[in-house]
Amino acid sequence: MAAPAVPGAVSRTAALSWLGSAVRWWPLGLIAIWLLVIAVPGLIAPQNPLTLNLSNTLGAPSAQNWFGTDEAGRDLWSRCVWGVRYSLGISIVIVFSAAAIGTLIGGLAGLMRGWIDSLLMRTTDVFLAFPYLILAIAIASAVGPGLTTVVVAMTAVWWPGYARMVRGQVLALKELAFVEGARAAGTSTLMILVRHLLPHLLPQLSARVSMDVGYAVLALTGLSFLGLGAQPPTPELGAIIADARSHLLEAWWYTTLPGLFVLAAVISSMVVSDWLENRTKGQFAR
Amino acid sequence: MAYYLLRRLVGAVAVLFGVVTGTFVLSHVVPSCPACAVAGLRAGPAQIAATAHALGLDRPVWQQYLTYISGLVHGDFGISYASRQPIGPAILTYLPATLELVVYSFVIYAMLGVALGLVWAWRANRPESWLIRLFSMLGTALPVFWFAMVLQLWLGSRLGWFPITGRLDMDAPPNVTGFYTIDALLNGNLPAFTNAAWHLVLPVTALVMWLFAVATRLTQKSVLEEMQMPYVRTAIAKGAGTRRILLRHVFRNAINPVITMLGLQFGWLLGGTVLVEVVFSWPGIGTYMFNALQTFDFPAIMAVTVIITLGFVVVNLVVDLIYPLVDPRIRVT
Amino acid sequence: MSAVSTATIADVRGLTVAYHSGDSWLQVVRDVSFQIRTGEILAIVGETGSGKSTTASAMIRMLPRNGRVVSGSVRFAGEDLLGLSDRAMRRLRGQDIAYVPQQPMSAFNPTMTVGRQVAEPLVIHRSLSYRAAAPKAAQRLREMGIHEVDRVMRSYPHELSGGMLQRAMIASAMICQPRLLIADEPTSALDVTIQRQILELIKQVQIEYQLAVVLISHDLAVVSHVADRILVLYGGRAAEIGPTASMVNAPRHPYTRGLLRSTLTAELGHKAKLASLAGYPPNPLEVDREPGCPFRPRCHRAETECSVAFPPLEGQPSHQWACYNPEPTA
Repeated sequence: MAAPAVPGAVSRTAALSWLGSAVRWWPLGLIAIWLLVIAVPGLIAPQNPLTLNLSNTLGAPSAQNWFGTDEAGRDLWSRCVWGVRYSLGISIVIVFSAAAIGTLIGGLAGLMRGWIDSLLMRTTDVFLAFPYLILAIAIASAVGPGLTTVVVAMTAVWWPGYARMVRGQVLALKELAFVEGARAAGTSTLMILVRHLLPHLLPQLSARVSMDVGYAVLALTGLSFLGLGAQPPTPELGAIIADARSHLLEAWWYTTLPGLFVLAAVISSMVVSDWLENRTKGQFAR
Repeated sequence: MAYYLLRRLVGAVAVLFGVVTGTFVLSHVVPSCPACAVAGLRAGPAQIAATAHALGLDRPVWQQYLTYISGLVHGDFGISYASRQPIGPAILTYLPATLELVVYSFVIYAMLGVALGLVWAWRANRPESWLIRLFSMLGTALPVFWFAMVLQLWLGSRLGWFPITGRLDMDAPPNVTGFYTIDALLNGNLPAFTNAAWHLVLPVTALVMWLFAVATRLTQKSVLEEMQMPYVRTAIAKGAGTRRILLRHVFRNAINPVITMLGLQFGWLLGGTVLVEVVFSWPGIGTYMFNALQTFDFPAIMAVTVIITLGFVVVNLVVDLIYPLVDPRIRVT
Repeated sequence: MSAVSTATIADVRGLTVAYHSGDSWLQVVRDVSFQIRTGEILAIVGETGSGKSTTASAMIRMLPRNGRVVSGSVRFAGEDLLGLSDRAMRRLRGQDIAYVPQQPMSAFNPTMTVGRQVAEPLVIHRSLSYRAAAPKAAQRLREMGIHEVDRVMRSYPHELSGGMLQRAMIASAMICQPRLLIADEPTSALDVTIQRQILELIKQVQIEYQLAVVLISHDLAVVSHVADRILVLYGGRAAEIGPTASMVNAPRHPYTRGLLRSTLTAELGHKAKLASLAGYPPNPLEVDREPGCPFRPRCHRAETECSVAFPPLEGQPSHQWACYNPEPTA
């Protein structure tokens, strides 16, 4: 069904199609915004999150301090911006590491089968037997609170999920001819995984990774809330909310507003994940 | 089918073994100097050594491991570093509070999640489903501890509708189940029942709000997929209406993945309960663990970890056992 | 053949059905007309994509979401089915008009006992409980030739064979004593030996209940044993319609003749050179675009006028064909 040729309608259709693309690709803009916040937080938060101002403690939101101030007079808005930068940044690192480790383990288990498969999968099962937050708490408490701890603990909690998922996909994929061909050509198992199978794994992986970033942010703030993550005076959203507890009744902004940042970050990750899943829907199943 | 059950059971036991070993490693192998934390910051080497000896930490690792395992089998969770008291009985006093919170949250969230998912699938393009979708997304994105605090502040303090902390404002009813609500009813004590229920509202709401979205989404997706199956066409050809098809036919078939997910999400619930208990000063094992974290009381931390994980493993085992009941095709294998 | 009562129970006129794909509509059934009489089996025969299943679905308004009846009418017992409310249509389905789907193995709900599913139309339409309806269901199953009725009632679909399931499906279709039965390729998914049995069963049921039956199939030779009249569809259009005897012994449309010659049966034994129809079934998109007879590319009797417009129906009222250059009466 050819579109009727109307002179002058050309530029309009071009503009509309550009708009259509923009609408369809808008989640990328979301990613760009967050990356900007992580890289250059000073752009939207000019004040220093660490500067004490004891003359203005627990101040309500104002033109100067959009989110008010905390008990040490620090500007809450900047603390939140820096905090979400920390949360998002760390979460991205964690999830990517976990995905990499999980893909490696799951892929090897799926390709090599036999006792390696059993061993790796039993280990995965044990990890997955723990409620994820409880395991993170246990590991973090054993290693000692701090940044590295949290990264280690959460990576340890997240990789098994990827291992299982990738193993399942690899099991399905390895029956395909090109894998047998690669084997016959003498390609090492690792190469098969990386060179041949990875492109097929990417669509599902990327959707899951972007979803997990959101969940990781939630878990991370939870750990910090319990005192296991970032240590003072580093601004981290969970820790900020924990500090707000002592001032729950007087300073409503201290409790309520930082959480909105977490919400924003997590919702963004879910939106991006949904979008990725829709875009890559047809591409995986052959 | 008995073989199926047996396999699941053996699998669960094996996994539990791994769990226990894992916690041992975390509490005895990973920390650089557990005795140091207990002995205190000012302790000198001699004191640390003495503490280590008193706690049995200077014995060879495998010996400590065996002691640990045999203790657990007998229900002995060791001695708390902080209180020097047996951990097991202490946990037992805190457990009922957590159970009450967890059970109510789970039941409400499961029913709500599935019901909303059904409605969403049924009314696919109407405004109700957009609303459900929006709420789902918001719900999962909430940091549960933050939301609990928000509820505490706005509904509890500012509006005064609900109590802010604790389980009960009066004397507890005589202990039968440990659930204040049930015990109060059993005792015919209506004011206590209402009071206990009122204290439950905010924590349960926080937990349910955080969890329901996943169940809703999965139910909706599963139901919609199931509606494409050929037997739905047969039912339509018999003159069945949408309600009958959904409730009598589709639901039973679509529920399988949802049941699995409910089991897995129980793990979320357990983690979230720790956070929520801290916020509401709820006297459960979450609070117990929080206190143990402050004092680096490893045995206590690990004991709680083991118990909570045990609960999770049991629930997933039950889920595995429910399948044959729901799906007759599995009964044969 | 059976003594045929001539009361027309269903009347399809000029039925045109289209599917929506992307942003265009594709016509899959064009201007098809036929009548069904009480006590008669009408077979609708065609290749995959000929529009036969779509016709059946359209009759009871069970088209998929992207399908629509573009024009035409479907009258049943005097009422226009296409204009009925959803609720009225639901009342007819299962009760006055029964539908037996393809592939009995997947047409049953895997988590419900067969007995419950057979009894279901009674539960829906007569407001009976399952317990009250069960004896009726058992009776029907017995009528359909199932022996261990109690066991079958309590079984789940995956525990029964295809043939048994199809008998149970027919039992369920007949349980409210409908006046019209539409069987959509009831035997395609079954073994050859079972196929005959099921068709015989349908015939039996039809005689006993004085049913009108529409039998959809891709196998002309097989249905010719039980059908009273046959409608042959090609490319969504009616190619030929007439009594079985005439259709089999003196087909007028080249496609019908081609169908007959490409199957090996005892009757056609002496013509047993297995001549397959040249070419492939038509692409609906092409049929949509090009005027003229859809069979022309494969027709050995094609003439110039065949590519200009679709031939009108001609012949006697009881036996009609749409062809400019029909086969001569042999």
